[in-house]
Amino acid sequence: MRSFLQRLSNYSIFVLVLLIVCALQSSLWLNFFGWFPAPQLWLTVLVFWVLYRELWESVLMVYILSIISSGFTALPFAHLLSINLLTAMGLFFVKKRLYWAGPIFYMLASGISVVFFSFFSYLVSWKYDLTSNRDFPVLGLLITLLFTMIVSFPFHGFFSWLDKLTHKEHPTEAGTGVL
Amino acid sequence: MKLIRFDFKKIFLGFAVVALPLMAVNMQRNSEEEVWFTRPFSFFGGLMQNALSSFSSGVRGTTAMYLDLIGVKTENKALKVENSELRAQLGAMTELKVENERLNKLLGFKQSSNMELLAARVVGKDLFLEHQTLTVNRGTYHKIKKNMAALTVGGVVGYVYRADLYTSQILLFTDRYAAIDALIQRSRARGIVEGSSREVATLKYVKRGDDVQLGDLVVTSGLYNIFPKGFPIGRVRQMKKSQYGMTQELELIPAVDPLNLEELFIVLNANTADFTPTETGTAIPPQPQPQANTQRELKEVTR
Repeated sequence: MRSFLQRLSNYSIFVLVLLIVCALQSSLWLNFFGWFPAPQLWLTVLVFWVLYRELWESVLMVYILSIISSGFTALPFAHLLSINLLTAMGLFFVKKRLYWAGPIFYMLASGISVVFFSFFSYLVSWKYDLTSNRDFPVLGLLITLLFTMIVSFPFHGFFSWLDKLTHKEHPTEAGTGVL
Repeated sequence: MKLIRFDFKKIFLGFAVVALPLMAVNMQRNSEEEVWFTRPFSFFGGLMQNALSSFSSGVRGTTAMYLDLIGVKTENKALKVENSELRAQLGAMTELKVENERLNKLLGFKQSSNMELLAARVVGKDLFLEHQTLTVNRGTYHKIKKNMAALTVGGVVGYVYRADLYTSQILLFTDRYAAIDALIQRSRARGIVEGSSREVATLKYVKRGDDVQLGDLVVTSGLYNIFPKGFPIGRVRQMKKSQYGMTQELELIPAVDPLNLEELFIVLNANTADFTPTETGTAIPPQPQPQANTQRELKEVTR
């Protein structure tokens, strides 16, 4: 029962964190920096859950994340869910083959996730949208990638602290999962 | 010996990863279709955006005030107290005058129009680079409904695609999911404006033989009384005609830069307003879009 409550508190805190980072990215950034490309703060949560959780927990978080972030965008929920799942699976693939503990790998994974997300969003848009995405802001993407990697460093410490606070243990072996 | 072994975890995960999203994508045919369980999150998200925006406005205001104080202090050291006070007063008066002029343009537009308009402040933007939406600090509580038009003095901005209690999201007409019925002001040729990229929109389905020239103003058609009739959307920048097509596509430069907006109007009721030029001139001439820079001005405008 205690373990269940600890897990629930961990999930709830991350949901709250997710809401806050989404609002930070879409509102606070706009107020200070306007339409200059913002770091994908919400993606750092997804990366953390993919790297330091079991697969079923990551999938659960992808669902939660998609529900929450769909409130901040015009991207339809189903598209967002598909893109996020594909991004998470791509990260799992990378994690299985290349992993080392610590924030440096987390930063690298955050950068990779930005590329994955952009690639899969184009793929989904091309497949399902009537007016597919024709705009490809390369510079904007590079800036986003760089910023996301930079902010992911302190976020790693913060998320690890949250895990410690809620007694959430990471899987003992890299790449562990039920699949 | 078990020939067939079921691993329910794997089956469940497989279902969650592959089947559910595919089902969801196939069921959600309409891109604007809203999923019920996202509503509470979008509601709280909107509230948070509002709160964070107010917080950042406060921080910016305080910082600006602090910097001003430093400026005044330095000035006081260099000049006599009396002179500096007078100069500060004069500066404040000038600032107020400029602010007044800007606000007058917005308020004048609101008063001179017979439309029912609601001023709103931009508090957030879309989470992703590829989409262009704005979150404003007005929602269903302020009588905003889905599909209401959003515009400024200079032209069309977009329309409401999601309305929560205290916030709403505006889909800019340059977003690829947006579509607005439009006319070419000079020749009255009809088409539909669709977003194509961050700074460009496209007027589609214009008949191949219709009279179009570069620089033509494209305006709203006023269909269904969502937008006022004849309100500027953009100007024709490029014409694309395929060799055998029945229609032509026109690339438009937006009349206003929707990415630089700090406040806008939501059209609660267009009241069949018509901005089409008459023989004596335009009913209410579209004016250049004012740039609002101060938080004080925003408060005034959105009050």
